[in-house]
Amino acid sequence: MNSNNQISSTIIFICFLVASVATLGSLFFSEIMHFVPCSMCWYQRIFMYPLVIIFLVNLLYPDDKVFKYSFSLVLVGLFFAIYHNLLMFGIIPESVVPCVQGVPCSTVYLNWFGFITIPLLSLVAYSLLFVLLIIGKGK
Amino acid sequence: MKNKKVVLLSVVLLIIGFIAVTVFYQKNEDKKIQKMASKSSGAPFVREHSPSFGKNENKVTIVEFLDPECEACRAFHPAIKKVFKEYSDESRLVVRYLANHKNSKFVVRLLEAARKQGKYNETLDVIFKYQPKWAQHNNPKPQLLWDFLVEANLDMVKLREDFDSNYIDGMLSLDRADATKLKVRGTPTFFVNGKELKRLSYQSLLDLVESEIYK
Repeated sequence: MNSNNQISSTIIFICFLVASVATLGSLFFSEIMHFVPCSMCWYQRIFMYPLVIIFLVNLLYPDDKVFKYSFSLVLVGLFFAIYHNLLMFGIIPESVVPCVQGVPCSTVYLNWFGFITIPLLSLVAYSLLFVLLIIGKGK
Repeated sequence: MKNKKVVLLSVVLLIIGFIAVTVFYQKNEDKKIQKMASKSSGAPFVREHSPSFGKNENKVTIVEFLDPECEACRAFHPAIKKVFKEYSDESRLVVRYLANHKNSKFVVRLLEAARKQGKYNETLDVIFKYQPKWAQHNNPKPQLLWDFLVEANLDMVKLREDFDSNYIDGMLSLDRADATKLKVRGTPTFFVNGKELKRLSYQSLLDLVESEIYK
């Protein structure tokens, strides 16, 4: 049944869970805890939220095309996540932060165990998706 | 495909999980805020500098975070007036400021100057009555208030004097700090004995106040 091009549904299912947790988590931070998202966060959200639907639809109606749609979104999101983390760690100086108004993107809302910040969570989610999709594609 | 059931189940579980965490988190936050209300000083809900009205026979403190330039505060003003008229013996109304708009500070200064003449509520009524005139979005003219306030039967000379001499910066910054502590994000926000009013409506405010009075 599974053609060579088709990523196993287990991997897509894990991808779906990762994207869902990232989506619901970000909504929890902004809507329930009332952290104001900075513009970087918005870009990462824009590329994360549709993934939930893409993975879900693929799980319900499997085909072999999910990789190209999801991976392109993951790639762009991952780029923003890396950039945002470089800002957070101060590797890119704050003066070049492209936030026009509202919250500066280097604002630290959350700091669990001294190093887990919201942008890091985003980076972890995107990296997981990146790796999972590569593994799924490689098989 | 039998996996579809697992997928749909996980969707349901994710949503239920989200709701559960949200409910738990909000209950926890409410509890934290209510705990703060048990302090005898009343802080951070009430400070000595805050305008306070009512006889408070039943020890029910209604706290309003207010911004005289805020349209929602104006819209809700009749409701709080009506509730407080009913229960001014049983409760007290304490006003805290959140000067979120451009001219809020100016107007708060006027209000505080009028308070020295014992005309606080009359002045607030006039301020809200003419808010659409002096607080137009594209063209605010707070100076107009000097003319409008004649309606509040104030001693205008004394009002000018008190306006020039009162420094409200300390008061405003303490009010803001307390608002942050209480997670107040907008105006008007009400607390009745530390319980936040969740829905801005006459009926819910009345219910909340009555539930504290007839406890």
